[in-house]
Amino acid sequence: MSGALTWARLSFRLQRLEILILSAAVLAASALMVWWAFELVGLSDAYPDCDFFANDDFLGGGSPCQAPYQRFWEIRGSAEILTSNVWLAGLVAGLVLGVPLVGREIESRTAQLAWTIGRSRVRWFVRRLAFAALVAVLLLTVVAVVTEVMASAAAPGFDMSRDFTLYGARGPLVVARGLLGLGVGVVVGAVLGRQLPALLVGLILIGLLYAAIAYGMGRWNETEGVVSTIGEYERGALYFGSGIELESGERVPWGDPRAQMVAYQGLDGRYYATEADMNAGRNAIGRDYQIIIPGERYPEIVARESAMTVGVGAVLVLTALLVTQRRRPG
Amino acid sequence: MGALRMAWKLQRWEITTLALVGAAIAVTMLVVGWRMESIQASAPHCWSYVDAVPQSVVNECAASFEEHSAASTIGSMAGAGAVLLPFVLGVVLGAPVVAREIESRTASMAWSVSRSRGRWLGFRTLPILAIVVFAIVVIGLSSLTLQRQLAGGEVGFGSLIPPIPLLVARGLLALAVGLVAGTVLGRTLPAVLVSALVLIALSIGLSLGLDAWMAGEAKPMDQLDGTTSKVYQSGLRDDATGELINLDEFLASEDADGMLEIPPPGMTMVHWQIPGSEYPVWMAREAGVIGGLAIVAGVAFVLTALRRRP
Repeated sequence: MSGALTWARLSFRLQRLEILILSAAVLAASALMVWWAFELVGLSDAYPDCDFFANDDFLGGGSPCQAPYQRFWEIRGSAEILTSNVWLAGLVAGLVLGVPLVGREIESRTAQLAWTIGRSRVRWFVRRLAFAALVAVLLLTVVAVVTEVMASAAAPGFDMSRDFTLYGARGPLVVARGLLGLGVGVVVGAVLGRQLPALLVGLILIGLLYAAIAYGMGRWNETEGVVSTIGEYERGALYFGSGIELESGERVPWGDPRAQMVAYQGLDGRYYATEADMNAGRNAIGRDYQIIIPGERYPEIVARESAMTVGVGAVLVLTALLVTQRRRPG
Repeated sequence: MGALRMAWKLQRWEITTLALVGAAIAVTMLVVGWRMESIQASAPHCWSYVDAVPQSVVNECAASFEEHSAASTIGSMAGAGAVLLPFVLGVVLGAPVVAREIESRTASMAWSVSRSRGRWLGFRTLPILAIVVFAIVVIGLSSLTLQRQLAGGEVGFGSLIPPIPLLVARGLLALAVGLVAGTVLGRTLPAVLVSALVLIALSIGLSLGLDAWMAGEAKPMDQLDGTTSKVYQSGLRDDATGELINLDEFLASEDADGMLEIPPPGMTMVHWQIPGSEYPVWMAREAGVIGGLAIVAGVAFVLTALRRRP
């Protein structure tokens, strides 16, 4: 027990400032989000008959829902400044904790001493990494929970555990991305042996890795997407694309020049090139379609992407371990 | 030259990394801007419509529109990089100037061998200041064609990339904040973190403050001033009395019950806006405010650095 305490105390002392700054930022952002969540829950409790997702044009002048509706969307708008950047927060927090683990020891020329007095470099590395990972997981779990609370408060009456709204900006993916950022930080710090350049290169690498993972997972998810018509749009679904399904069965996305020939939509949902064709119900071009993954699959898709992200982070950590083992301390 | 060589030796890694990133952004903006212009020049009839484009032209020019749109997506990403770069340059080059000396315990030697601490500060910070300003001006000049293209021909309040003086002012503020944070904390990485957080808070505060200032100066006009203006709210003017009513207040009032058309008979729609022609004035004001803050932070840096224990 005392060994663990010594380990925690020494590890904290080595990264005290980074941990304190990140904790302060997490606390401030969490407090703000919790406050907004309380305001939103208060509004939806005080006005149970108001539908906050109705089009405000239909609320009518003098409607008792007009003022709470406006307030609800004002708060949501303010909260979105934070929630829309949470995906980045996890990555950056991990990076900031990861870069100095090996990079600072090399930069300040203390690596030689640290690596010779330790029983082994692997043991030294694992102890340092374990503490940084623990801090990252603890801090980002707070963010993950608070963003879930915020998302539920911002969508009263909806089951957010079965909803892709704010996908990636709440819940376990935030923590998983933190571990990816940590992996990038450790490996770049170990290779470059300089903190600031490692931070810059790490940011670029994170951007590339994030884009690659998002693209890869997007394509994977798309292969499992189901086709529905736009009229059947299901709230909370993960959306991949839409267009027009020609009578031949070929799907043409809206961006395709061939989709430009669509001009009129009949009552049967089909598209026609001319008004006369529409009225006569002849020469139909096709009907609209969209590819989605229904909200019920949210937990499974999140778990899959989280596992993939943590997996890439683990590979990077192993790479950093190999680099540290073979690297000269100067 | 000696000071520049010293800055290069001490911050070689950061300068190299930032130079590579900056060069990539500048080249991308130049190439994409030129490409967007040449797409328009190769099919001028496709781009001569101000309002709705006829269906026949849409079909005929689909390839040109698509290529322009693809280039615009890449240009927007490079433009976003150009907007962020002054902050990154300022913080990453400013924070380590004093912090690294303190962190590596070389400050006491560096400060004692120099004739005065003020001279040492000038020797170390002026080259960095010159590098930051030079890099931002290069980035700003590289963005000019792209800026015009992304704004649809006429630069205004909707433009992604602000004018060069504002980019420079932001870079100077970031540099000054980085210098102060580095001097106070004496640790490079935490100083970068704190500077980033301070700049985020300052940017939000400035954005809200300037927005409130502009909203106060917006004037009601009958017509929307194209895409270059900044529109704050819409309202109605009573044609008989000339009285102005905010649209939200009107819709929330009982007068709007059962109303089928907006504006109702006897009223004209008006928009409180700042016209695009005032864009340079507001950008200059914003640059002035940010420049003023940079001076305050710069003075704070000098005072802190002169009194700090090494």
